[in-house]
Amino acid sequence: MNKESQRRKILRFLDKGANKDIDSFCIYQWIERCHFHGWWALAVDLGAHVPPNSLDRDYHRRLDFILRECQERSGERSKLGHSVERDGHKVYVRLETTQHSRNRDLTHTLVRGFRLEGREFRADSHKDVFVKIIQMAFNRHPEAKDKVLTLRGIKRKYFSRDKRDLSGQCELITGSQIWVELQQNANTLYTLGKEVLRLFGMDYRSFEILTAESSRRPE
Amino acid sequence: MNRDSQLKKIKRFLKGKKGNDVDPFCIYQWIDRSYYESWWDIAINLSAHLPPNSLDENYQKRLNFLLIECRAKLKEEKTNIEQFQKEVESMFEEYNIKDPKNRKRIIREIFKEAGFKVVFSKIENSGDSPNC
Repeated sequence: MNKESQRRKILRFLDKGANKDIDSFCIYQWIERCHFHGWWALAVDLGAHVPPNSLDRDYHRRLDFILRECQERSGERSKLGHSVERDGHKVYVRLETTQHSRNRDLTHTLVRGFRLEGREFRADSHKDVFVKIIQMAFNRHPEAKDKVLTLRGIKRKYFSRDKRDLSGQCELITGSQIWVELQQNANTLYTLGKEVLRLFGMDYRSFEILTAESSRRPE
Repeated sequence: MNRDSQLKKIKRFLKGKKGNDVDPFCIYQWIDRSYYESWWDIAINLSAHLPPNSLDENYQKRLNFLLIECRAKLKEEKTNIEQFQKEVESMFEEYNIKDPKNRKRIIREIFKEAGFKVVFSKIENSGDSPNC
């Protein structure tokens, strides 16, 4: 086994999920491989697949150390700005961590709305914000709805015409045949929202989430 | 991959059926697996296939640690076996047990108590020897 074959196996595992032939130690080894080659994001994703207490204490300690380093490096990398890789018709987006999310972690924040192009809108949750952003983009450019299908992560799709491509937490965007993946954390939903706005040529720099901590109330 | 499939791959590799796609990091990880599963001798055999300076400093340090541990454990295991053999031998002498069948039965009972399965194999010029 070498670098490439291991990477393929890891991606296949992350795509298809649990496999009885893969034991915890194997996942630990994959994480170590990711650490060795600098595949920080993959290591972080794999970390979620190691059940607690499935390795002995020393290995768990080492795993925690490796994962912490990968998380830190993964964070540093995203601060450098987002990158877009093209492979045929697919566009792989490494999400940008903007000034907004660098300064504020949106996790567990209570959403009351969002600001876009100088206007404030009401919303109840991060998912609600994301869906509304997509609807606004679709309403403004109904002819270009399919553009969102080009947005995808390294391992999974964010949008699809087929519900089965996405997790159980997906939603059909009103007025379209496109489903959107909503099983994302708050920061990812925010950066994806920005990416959608950018894709549709809208003012993504003005996009801001208004939380309960923000002083101004949406109109 | 799990314990058994990795052991199969390692054994194939050590038998000389090398694939071109085994990189040094993979050998390092096999050594790590061998350490984890207490396959001390396999880990030491694998180390011979690892080219020098093929890993970065941190991983090289860890590899050295694993190999030192494996060597120490293997030595400890050998000492324990030798000690056990001596004790059993002196017990047989003390109770004047000379019949090989009786000896085998007693050894089997001792290991059974300890949760092991005993397989006897013949070793030249030394009679029957326990191998577990």
